[in-house]
Formats: sequence, C-alpha cells, structure tokens
Amino acid sequence: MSSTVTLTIDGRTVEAPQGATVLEAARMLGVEIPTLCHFPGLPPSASCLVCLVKIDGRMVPSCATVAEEGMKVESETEEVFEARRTALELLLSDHTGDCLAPCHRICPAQLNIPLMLRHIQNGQVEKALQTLCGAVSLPGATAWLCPAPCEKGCRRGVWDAPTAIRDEERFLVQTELEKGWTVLPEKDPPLERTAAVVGAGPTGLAAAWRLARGGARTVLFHRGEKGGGSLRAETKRGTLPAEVLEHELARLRALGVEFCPRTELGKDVSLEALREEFDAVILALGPSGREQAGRLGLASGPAGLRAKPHTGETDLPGVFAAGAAVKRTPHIARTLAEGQNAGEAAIAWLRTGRAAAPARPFSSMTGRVERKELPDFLRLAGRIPRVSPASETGVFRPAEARAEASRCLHCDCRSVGACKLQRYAEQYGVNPKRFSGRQRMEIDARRGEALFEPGKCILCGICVQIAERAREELGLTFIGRGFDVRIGAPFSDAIADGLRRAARECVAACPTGALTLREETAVPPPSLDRFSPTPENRAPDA
Amino acid sequence: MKPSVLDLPPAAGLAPSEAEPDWTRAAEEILDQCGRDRKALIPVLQAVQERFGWLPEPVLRHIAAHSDITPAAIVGVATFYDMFRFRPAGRHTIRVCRGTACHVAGAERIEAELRRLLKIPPGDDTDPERRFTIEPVACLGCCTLAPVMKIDERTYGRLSPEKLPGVIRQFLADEETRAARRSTEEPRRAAAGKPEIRVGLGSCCMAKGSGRLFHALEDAVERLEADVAVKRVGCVGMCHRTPMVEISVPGRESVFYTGVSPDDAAAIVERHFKPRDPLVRLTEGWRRFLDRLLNDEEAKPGEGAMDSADPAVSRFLGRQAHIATEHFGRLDPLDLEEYLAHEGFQALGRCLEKEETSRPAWIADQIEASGLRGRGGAGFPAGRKWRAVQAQPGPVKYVICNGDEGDPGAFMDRMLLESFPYRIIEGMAIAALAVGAREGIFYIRREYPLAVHRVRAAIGELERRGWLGERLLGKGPPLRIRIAEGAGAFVCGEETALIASIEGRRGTPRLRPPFPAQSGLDGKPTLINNVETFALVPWIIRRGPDRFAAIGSKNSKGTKVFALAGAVKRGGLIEVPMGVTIREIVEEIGGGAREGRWKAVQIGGPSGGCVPERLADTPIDYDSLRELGAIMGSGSLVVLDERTCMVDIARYFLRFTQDQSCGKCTFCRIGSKRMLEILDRICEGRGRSGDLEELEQLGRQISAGSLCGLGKTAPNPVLTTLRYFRDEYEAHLQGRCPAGKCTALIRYVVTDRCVGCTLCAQHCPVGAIPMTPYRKHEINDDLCTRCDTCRTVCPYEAVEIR
Repeated sequence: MSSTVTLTIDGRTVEAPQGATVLEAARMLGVEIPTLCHFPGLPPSASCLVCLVKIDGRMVPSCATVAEEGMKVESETEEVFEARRTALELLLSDHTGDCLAPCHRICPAQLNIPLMLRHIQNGQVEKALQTLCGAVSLPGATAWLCPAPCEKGCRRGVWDAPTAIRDEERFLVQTELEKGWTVLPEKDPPLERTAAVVGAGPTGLAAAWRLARGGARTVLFHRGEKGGGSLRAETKRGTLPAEVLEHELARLRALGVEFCPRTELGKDVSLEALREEFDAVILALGPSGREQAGRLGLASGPAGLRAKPHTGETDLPGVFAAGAAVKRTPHIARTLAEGQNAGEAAIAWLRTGRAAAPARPFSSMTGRVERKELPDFLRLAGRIPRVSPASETGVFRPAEARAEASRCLHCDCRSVGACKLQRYAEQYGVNPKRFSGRQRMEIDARRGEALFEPGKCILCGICVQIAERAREELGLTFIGRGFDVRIGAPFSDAIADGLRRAARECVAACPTGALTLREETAVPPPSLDRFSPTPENRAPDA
Repeated sequence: MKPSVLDLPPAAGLAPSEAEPDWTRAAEEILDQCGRDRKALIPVLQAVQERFGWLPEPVLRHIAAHSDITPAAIVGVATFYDMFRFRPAGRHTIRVCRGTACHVAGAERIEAELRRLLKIPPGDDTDPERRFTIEPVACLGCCTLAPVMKIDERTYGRLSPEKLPGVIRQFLADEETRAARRSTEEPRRAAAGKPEIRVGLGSCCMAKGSGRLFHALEDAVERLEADVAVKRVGCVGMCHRTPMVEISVPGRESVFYTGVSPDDAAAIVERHFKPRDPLVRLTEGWRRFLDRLLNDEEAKPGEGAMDSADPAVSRFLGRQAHIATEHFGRLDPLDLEEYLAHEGFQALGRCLEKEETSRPAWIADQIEASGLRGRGGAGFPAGRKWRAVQAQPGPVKYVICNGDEGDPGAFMDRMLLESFPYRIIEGMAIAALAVGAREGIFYIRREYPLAVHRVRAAIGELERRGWLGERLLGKGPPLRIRIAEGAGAFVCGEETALIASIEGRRGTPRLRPPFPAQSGLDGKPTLINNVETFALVPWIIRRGPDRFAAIGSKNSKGTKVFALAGAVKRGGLIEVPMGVTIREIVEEIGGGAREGRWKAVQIGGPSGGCVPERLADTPIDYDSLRELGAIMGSGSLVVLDERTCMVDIARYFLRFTQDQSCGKCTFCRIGSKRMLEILDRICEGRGRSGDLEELEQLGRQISAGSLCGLGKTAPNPVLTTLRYFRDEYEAHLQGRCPAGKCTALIRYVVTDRCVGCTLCAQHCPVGAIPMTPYRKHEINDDLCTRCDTCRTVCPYEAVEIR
C-alpha cells in the first residue's frame, strides 16, 4: 500500500499522505476552504458544513472526508460557493448578537465606542484617546458639537438611560488638552502622491486628515487666515471652546497637513492648476460650492455640486467633492464622515486609480432588544444611574468618566476581527437578510473567567470536546435536540461550572464570539459607593 | 361563555406531603441492575424514568458520582431523547396520535380541544393539578381509526372535539371500576388438528378492542364448555375490519367475522361450537333471552360474517403476495412449535448444513442472487452489504436489526416483530452466519412495548432450548441476541445514529464513509438491516433466490409491505409484489376513495413525497419512485383526497422532521426550521412573493448539503408538492386554501339551509354561535376557533367553509 494518495482539487494535482482529509490536501495546495467546527487535534464533527466540497456529484464536508486515490474534488466553483454561502446564511439567521454595537454602527465616523468606554473604565485614557483619534478626524469638534446619534442607539437606554458617550469624548479631549498631548492616528507609509484639499471647514479638515493619514502629501488651500470654516462661528457662539479648535488644527499640522491660507479657488489658484500640480483634488467649498460649480466647469446636481455618493467623485477624474458643497449635512459627525470618506476614496484612487467607497465591515444585526433581555448584560455593567458632570465646566472628572463608562453593557462582540463567521460572511458576500430568525439575546456572565453568549454559538462542540479532554469535573454538553440544542454545563445554569480548568483553552478555540474572556470586557466596575442606585435602574440580582 | 364542560373531581392520591423517596437507594438499585459502564447509560435512564415517571436530579447526580457515566453524558443523552422527562408527569398520560392519517382527520383540533378542556397551560404538557399529561406521539399505528388518542392503555378512535368531554368522563369512570387487567401474553401451545378461534392480537388490533374480545371469547368457550381453542395470532392485515375473528375447523373452509365486539363473542362461539351439555345450552338460551329483554337489542352474529369469497376481501387479498408476512393471521407469534411446523428454522438449518468455510459465501450468493434490497427505505442491495461486512477482517462483528420505525403512518416493522418474532430472529441468525457475527442486537422503539415483549419472549424460548447462545440451533457457532430499546428519537433509524444510541450516546449521525460495514458498533464491522429485510431472508433461502427474483420488477425484486391508510375504503397492512402500480393498490386493494375523488398518495412518510393521481399508473419500485421525487421509505402509503390541503400536508411532514432533527448539521437544524417558517407563513396567509422559489432553492440545498438521510430527504414532501401541486401554493399566496383546511384562510358561515335547530350553538366549544332558536344562526368569526364541530353536527349541511 502506498503511503500517499494522489488526487486533484479544481484540476490541480496534489499528493497527500494516506489518511489525510480532503481539507488537509486542499491546504497543501493553498486552496482555502472555510471551516468553523474543525479543530486540529480533535475528531471531525462535520456539523457546520461550511467546508463543503463537491466530489463525484455529491456535496461532502471536506474536514471529514478522507482523500482517496484519484479523487476529483471541486472547491472553487460557484456551485460550491453557493452551498457554503447558504450554510453561512443559515448560521447567521440563527445568530443573535451584533458584531458591532449599535452605537458603533450608528456613528458616521465608525468610532468603536464600546472599546473606547472599556479603556476609560479601565483607567487607560491614552488608549481611549487612541481609539477616538484613530476614527474621528476632529474629536474636539464632535466632543462639543455632535448631537450624539450613538446615544439614541445605546441599549442601556432601553433599561434606564443611554451611556453618556459624548460626555466621555469631551472628557478625553479635555484630558488631552490639559496634559498637553497631541494624539495622532496611525499613519500609513508615505504614498509618494500628492493631494490638494480646497476649503478648511470641517469637511475639508476631515478630508485632509484622511489623506494625510493615508500617506499622501496633503496641502490644504483656504481663503481665510486660520482655517476652521463654520467651526469658527461655533467658537464665537461659545458652543466650541476656541482652544479646542486650535488644538484640532494643531493635530492636523502635526499629522503633516500643509495649510495654504489666503488662497481662494478661481481667484488665487485655478482648478486646472491644482489638477496639474496634484494627483487628486478634494473640493470642500462649503455652501457656496453650488454657485461655484458652473464657474469651475463642474456639473450641478439637485442639491449642489454633482458628486457620486459614497466616493464624492465628480465628473473630472481625480477631482472629488464633499460636504455642504454637495448637499447639506445634518450634523458635525456626518460632515466629518463625508470629508473622511472623500479622503478615503481619493486615497484609493491614488493607490489604484479607482475610487472606492470605504468598506464597512460585515456586522450581524440583532435589532431591537427587549428590556427583559437586558438583566444578563447588566451583570457586566455599573448599576448606577447616568452620571452627569458635576463641575460647571461641563466636563467629567476622571472618576465620573470611569463610573459612567462602566454603565456600558458591552453589547458589542469581543471577537470582532477574530470571529471566523464574520470573516467568511464578508468573504462569501452573504446576504444576512435571506433568512430571518431571532433568538433571545443573552449572556451567561454569572461567574468564572469565561462569558458565554448562546446566541452566537454555532454548536460546533469544540468546547465540549476540549472540556472532556481536560477532564473537567462537570464539563460541557449539548443539551436538547434539534433546533433548540444548546451548549451548557450539566446540572448547572452557569457555563463557568463546566469550565473550571479549560475556560481559556475553550475561549481561544471558539470560532465565533460565543465564548470570550471576562477580562477582555472590562475591569469590574469601580467602586460606586457614592452613586446610590435608584430602585428602577437596579439590576435584578448581583 | 359556557360553563366548564368538564368539572373534574379534585385529584386524589397526590398529597403534597408524600415523603421524599430515597434517591440514593433507588439510584444504587438501578446501577446494580443495569451496570455502571458508560454504555449502560440509556438503560439506566430508562430504569430511572420507569421508576419515577421522570428523572429526578438527585438520582442523576448520584449515578454520575458512582459510575463511569459523566454528568455531561447524562444530561446530553437525557435531553436528546423524547421519553425522558425532567418534571413529574400527570397521573394519566394522554397520547395524541400525530400520524399522517390522524393529521388529515383533524388531530390538531383534538389536541387543541384537549388542552382547553383539561386546562393545560400553553407551553406546558400537564394540567396544574397533575392529572393528565398530554404527549403527542408520531403514530399510534391505528390509522384506520383516525383521529386516535390513547389514555394510559386505552385507545379511543374516530374522535372529534365534541366527543372529548364524554371520552374523558368515561375514562375516569372506567378507572374507578376497572377490573384487574388480564394479559393476552400468557404462553400457549397450539394443539394440532383441533378447531381454533383465531383472534389477531397485534397492537393495532388490540387498540380496537381485540384484547377484550379475546377474553370474551375465552370466557364464552369456558362457559359453553365448547371444544375449541381460542388462539392469539399476529396481524391480520385488514385493519379496516378489525377486530376480526377466524373460525378454523380442520377440513373446513374458515369463516371470518369482522368488526366484532366482545358482546358478540358468545353468539359466535355458540353458533359454531354448540355446547355439549344440554343444560348449559338451556341456561345460555335463557340468559340471552333475558339479556335481550333487558337491553332491547338483538345479537346479530351473522352480520359481520364474511369469507374469502367476499368480493371486497378477495380484492383486498387478491393482489397481495405474502413472504415477509407468510402465514399471516394464522400463527401464534410466540408458539415456537407452530413456527417449526410451518417450515420455521428450516432455512437456518440448511445454512448450517453447509461446510463452515464455504457457508458465508454461499449465503451471500443466495441473497445477492435474489436481488433483495434493504427495506428500510434507501434500497441498498442487501447482498453487497453482507459481503462488505463479510470481507472485513477481525473476530468481532455485529448484526443489528433496525426496528426503530418512526415514520408517522408506518407500522410494518412493528407488525412483523409482533407477529413473526421467530422469523426475524431466523433471518438475523442467517445474516450473522454470513458475516461472521456472534452477537446480534435488536434495536426496537420503546413505543412498541408489545414488539419488545414478544421478541424478548422469543429470544428467551430459543435460549431455553439452547438454540441461541453457545451453539446456534444447538449445532452451529455461538450467537447471542439482545434487545436495545430506543428512547424516542426518530433520527435513530439512521444507522450511524442508531449505533451511537446503542453505545449510550446522543443519537446524532456521523458522516459516512466509513460505513458501519467497516466501522460500526464499538468501531467493529456491523451489518444493519431493517426488520422487513430480515423477515424476507428465511423464505429466500428456503425457496431459493430465483423464486424471489421472479417476483417484482427489473431492479426491485420481491415484495414490499405497506401500511395503507388515509381516505381509502379498505386500509390495512398489505404485502404486494414490487412493480404493482399505485393505482392498483389504491383502487383494487384499497377500494378507492372513501368518498369523492382521491388526488394523491403520500409514499414514504416524511422522507417521501406526494404522487398525484395522474401519475398513479407508475409501478412501485425503488427507482421509479425516486424519479417521481418520492422514495419507498419504510412503506407508509396514505391516500389523500380533495379535502386534503397539499401545502398543509407538506408542512405537516416538514414539521415532523424538523422536530426530529438531531440538531447537528447546519442545513438540517436551521435550514429545515427556516423552510418550516416559510410554510407556516404561507399557511397563515402571510406568504410573500419569492417564497416558493426560496422553498425550492433552500430545499435543494438542504438535500445536497445535509449530513444524513433524515436531512437529505426532509425537503422531499415540500419539493414534490411544489412540483405537482404548485397551484395550491399559489392559491395560498393569494389568500385562499382550496381544500378549506388552513384555519387562517377560511371562515365558517351558516347558509340559508339553516332552520335554527341550535345544535351547532349547543356544541360550539367556545360559544361562538349565539343560541337563536328557529332563526338562522350566526357564527362570531372572532371567537371561532375553526374546530369544525358545527359543520360536523349540523344535520342540514348548513355550515360551510368559505
């Protein structure tokens, strides 16, 4: 008997060791086959069926099919993708829990708010600032001016009152000022390309921020002396402290944006000249952009300069437009997002010659959560009423910030980025709306190191096997049958009782965010003695 | 609102102060009896359940602490199987049949009405006073009595919602006065050459009162001192006419009585076997005369009489061929001597005569030449399977008889096990010789207590004779046979799940290959065949494979047993040659539709499909059925008429498989649920455009992607009805249910034919019809639950479904 077998996968020949699975053979060829329930060292469970391949006209799970001599395997075909996609769509239809928390998803700048709050709660202000400044171009502006749509989506609001997200932002920006820091987002390597932005209002600043971050040499042309556009007016009105605006402009300079003041488009410099000089031009002309369109030789749309949605491309190649010049934006966060998006599209254009709208990560969406689903999550949160800044400055003191941050329910997923289900969903372009279904949203946070969210569990059984291998006293088991099967510890309502030894190993092996470590969520809420909970917002049990 | 229909007396004997049982002692006793090995888990749990009626946690914890069984295994297994409960049950259990025939006849209404009547809260199965627990069962196998339910051991058939209060009251009254129950299972021995009164005592016959008839006949024979033996025989097949009695006198043609009640027993005995003592005759005559005076009715012994010349009977039997059911209705299932007198164990004997070295190959040759294909559903050639196990090296191999028949509407295997236990053991023993196995296991559903009992009794008898155990038939190699009882999980009919179940694990299937032939029970080569397959084996060996292969069609040889039920005149268990057409079965054997026209046949249960009447000339064999989108399945055959909604029937089967899915693989666990949700939506009038296409697409993907046969075939009922009855689906999307079945899409109206007799108002269980004597009644649509009672009771046919 030969010690290897030869088979073909998508027409390519591979020699695999006797006894190897089709999956292993495919990996030898570098053919990527998705897997969820497969775990090296454990016998195959063949339950998730996202690793389907077609052999002899039959769809079979590659993880459990032993490669045989002369086998002809189809893997990279539309039919196989279709089957895998359906498996993923089915799993997602039974998936309760969001990849991104609603606040995060609602934020036009896609700020990871729960992460920021966890840093604040853990007393890591710098990390929190890094999170903030990595997503928002002018955090000072949003901290003072944003109407905080994120708070409308906050699930804590279903219980008592939403987390004071904008107040937390204000606290961070204020701390930065006081400490004399200038926190910069991570910058991509230099691009050897140049970009011009016209207009130093919030849109233009945001676009310049994104271009500079993306590694382009960025020059910002503006009419006035100092820049800031409509934000100047806010400082005069007293809604935005002047030093905050200055700080933001300083941040942009520190990021490498070159300001070119007293330069008006069409007067001091022509669009043609800019196009000649720069590889990309972003027009952020403000409300006056509409009248200027004709003069600049650009077409007008119903609300202003005509630009493609999402990318801001105008009819002229390499020229982008954004902000009030294109259409009115409802609030500062939206405005910044428009500028940032145009900047991102321009970066893509500079890199590849094609403007691309910013990719949004795949996120499973659970939708409305009922009040009765929340008590489980309240175990992870501070059981205090919403904190308001006590000082007349309207800014949190550090203890207040930490206390308020502890009110976050952490309804986001700690496995974003590590979750295989999310990754494949994106990769296979699943339609999360093909099937609908919704289980109760719950989290087992009663005790122990591990948190368990049954709604995110795909029943791969890896944790069951690891717990058995680790000789756990109780261990884990499948409970029930059919659609209602779930994972649990026998004779107990807490998963932790079944995972006294193997919790970390199981968390590491979990293909989704069903099992996570408590410590990744946040340190226990700080001492809240001075906040006396009122009866209506007290969590049901400790 | 009407007053409570059923004012039950308060529960007695359920005093809350009952002392807590000694859990530890009970657990220890059970462990001592069943063993402390991991594999003993299911029998251990069954023993606990038997003892307490549920699984108390202290007992389970003790078992985990004092055996090799882990807590995870206990909870995983106990929550997998339907029979295990985690809360105490009520004093009486009402098993409501959800079989196909019952569903079509309105079982859902029965269940809903029972819940209402007994005040069982939604989501619960027991009333707050713990008197009754409702337990839906896949099939009670009394399809010709549909809709049926069973309260404890008593079966009630042809139910309707308005009959229920009376039934419950009657049951409670009977409970109080109930005499000690008598067993029909005492060992008996036939006396050759003596007249016999044969009574079919399969569990479906028993459900129709054959047990009581049997005792009434015995009593009558004793009282009349008649020289005749009352004999228990297996299934008689003619379910539509049971309870049935055959008067067999040597040298004379048998006389049959059908639809006999225990009250007729004396008259029958007297008619055929005149009492010898004139005094007895005289007193009997007087007694009957007085009875007649008191009861004002005449005993009519001749009424149900029939003989095989009866055209209905001859047409019922005419097309049949009895191989698996050879000597049906004549043999006492447990009388080994009688089995031997009817060529029993001759086939096994012939195999043992062969040289030991050439024997396995010879047997496999016979089976292969016969063309026998597995009767469990998929039709895999038996000879090939046997050879595959035979070819495996190693001294330890197993033979398993798959008696986990769980399809609603299928009870062929149960009937065979109950009627011919020796024949199936013989078939298994021949298989064991062929493959070299020394251990055989019957896996039988726990819902089939009589089958378990009779097989166990038959094994016991053979062991006593030394025919099983050390030396097969007293001269062959060793063969031990034991029984593993299922615990209520349809999926365990799948062979890898069945093996997992025998091994004491959750009955989840695994990917094949490796097939059980290579790696089965305990990882050893294992031959698994269905009951009917084994039942055919002795005949094949005895008569020769050519005789068997001469019957049937090109690729499907021999015969197939079907359970014929539904809207057909003559239902029952039939065995027909392969290749007979659907029309011949329905119209010749079954006598056609009971009323109106029949429009389709559902073949193969939840894995099968609906074949429309226009394709009824298709011969029944494995391949032609597969081409139609159906499968042979285990052989249920339900005839559907115009009043059956095809969308509803598809939903019914999908609900069954979805409920029985083991929950392992994505396609079956979630896919079947999503399909069911779409069907629910359609039946409730909330269907959307694109739903039918999604059903087809998802259905095909579930078929292609699922791990085991249950999932792969689950979409068949939906896909075939979409294929042949798409117009009905489309009507639902437009808000109409052409068959008038889907409650959300119909309403009940009173027409001008109404004379105001108030019968409907009196019977309406929810008070939706105001009492308006001599005026046309009105139905309050908001209150109406569509229970159909008004329409059934109206003598003027004035209630219509719109």
